[in-house]
Amino acid sequence: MNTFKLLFITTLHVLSFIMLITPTQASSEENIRDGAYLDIGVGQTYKSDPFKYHNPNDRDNGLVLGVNGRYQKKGFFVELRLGASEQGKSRLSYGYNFLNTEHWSYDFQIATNHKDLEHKLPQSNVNSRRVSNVASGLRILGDYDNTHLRFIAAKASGAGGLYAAGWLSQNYQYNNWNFYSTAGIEYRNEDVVNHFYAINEVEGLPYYRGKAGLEYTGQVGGSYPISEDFVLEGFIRATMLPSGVSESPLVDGNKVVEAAMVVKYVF
Amino acid sequence: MFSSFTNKKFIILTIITLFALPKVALSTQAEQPANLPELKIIPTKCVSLQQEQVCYVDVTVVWQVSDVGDYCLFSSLQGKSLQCWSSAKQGTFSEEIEMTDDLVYTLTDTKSELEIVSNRLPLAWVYKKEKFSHSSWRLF
Repeated sequence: MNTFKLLFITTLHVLSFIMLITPTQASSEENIRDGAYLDIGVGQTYKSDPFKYHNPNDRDNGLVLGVNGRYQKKGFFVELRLGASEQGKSRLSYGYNFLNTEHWSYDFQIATNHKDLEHKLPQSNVNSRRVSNVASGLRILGDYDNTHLRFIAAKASGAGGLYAAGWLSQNYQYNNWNFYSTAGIEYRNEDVVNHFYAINEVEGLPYYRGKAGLEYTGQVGGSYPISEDFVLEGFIRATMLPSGVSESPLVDGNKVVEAAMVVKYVF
Repeated sequence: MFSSFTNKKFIILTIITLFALPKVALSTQAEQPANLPELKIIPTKCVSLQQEQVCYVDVTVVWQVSDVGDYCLFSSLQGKSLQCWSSAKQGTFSEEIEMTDDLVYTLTDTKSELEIVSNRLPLAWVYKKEKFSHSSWRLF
């Protein structure tokens, strides 16, 4: 076990211990994050395809229906994220919000941190499906007025899969438009990389095992309130894939560009 | 025979009358003058994305009174009048504003300084301001 992995697992255990011994607000006072949120949107999305043998039925382009929902009671929460706003790749997750301070919020979360992939092998047309498994982790949210931070450390798909991520987002207002810029770094160890991008020597493809790496993402976007219930949203996002992913015979290129324009109804 | 014809005529007339009456009533209503004095604000609200944000809006105020006179328009944003009219019974005023609370426009009689009519432009928002709000980080 390398030093990083040891440090990572130790951190997770220490944080889990802190979580267990920390008195929660739920028993004595109301949890500030208790409540419900739901929006449903429809819009147009574009996503460049970095996969050589991507299943054509698994499309990311065109008209999409998006749903964002969250419900929390006494600290326990469920979140649903589908469609164009999804970046964390966690579609349905649940967990427990165990600590809130003035600027920081701590969640124990069970989620997926990579989307499912389907590679259609070139000769047999057989689908090589790579399912993203749910795994437990710690999520920390930071809120300083117009600056938002988000950190995740979690187990992930693959035998000893580990995932870590950090995001920083800054909001700006111009008239009634709200703009934001976001930068993110995601780490996946080699077990995760190989769960999704490894291939044995089959159908003319070379044997491949990748190494751990960092994925960088930059995103800019904006929102405009059409009315009290409807919001227009748009964003463009670019992701730089780590070499452990981009060098896979299943992958073509090291960049992914996504853009979307969505109209949402906020309940 | 005559009686039967008369009955048919009566029934037809009754049906026509029943269908025609609401139309007559509607047209009578439409011809009625507007309730004066009145002060309309366009748009009817200012919507920002999040609670406590400044809301920007181009407002048009249209007022109408029954008697010709001298009138001034005020808003709750500032103490002095926005515009005054002489020997008028109607007027229009437009401005760009930044609001952080509901805004009230008031028309007053210049001589008596009495309020003639007022109306409110409410401030609305989509997302309630809250720490760690789902809306603030769902784009990550």
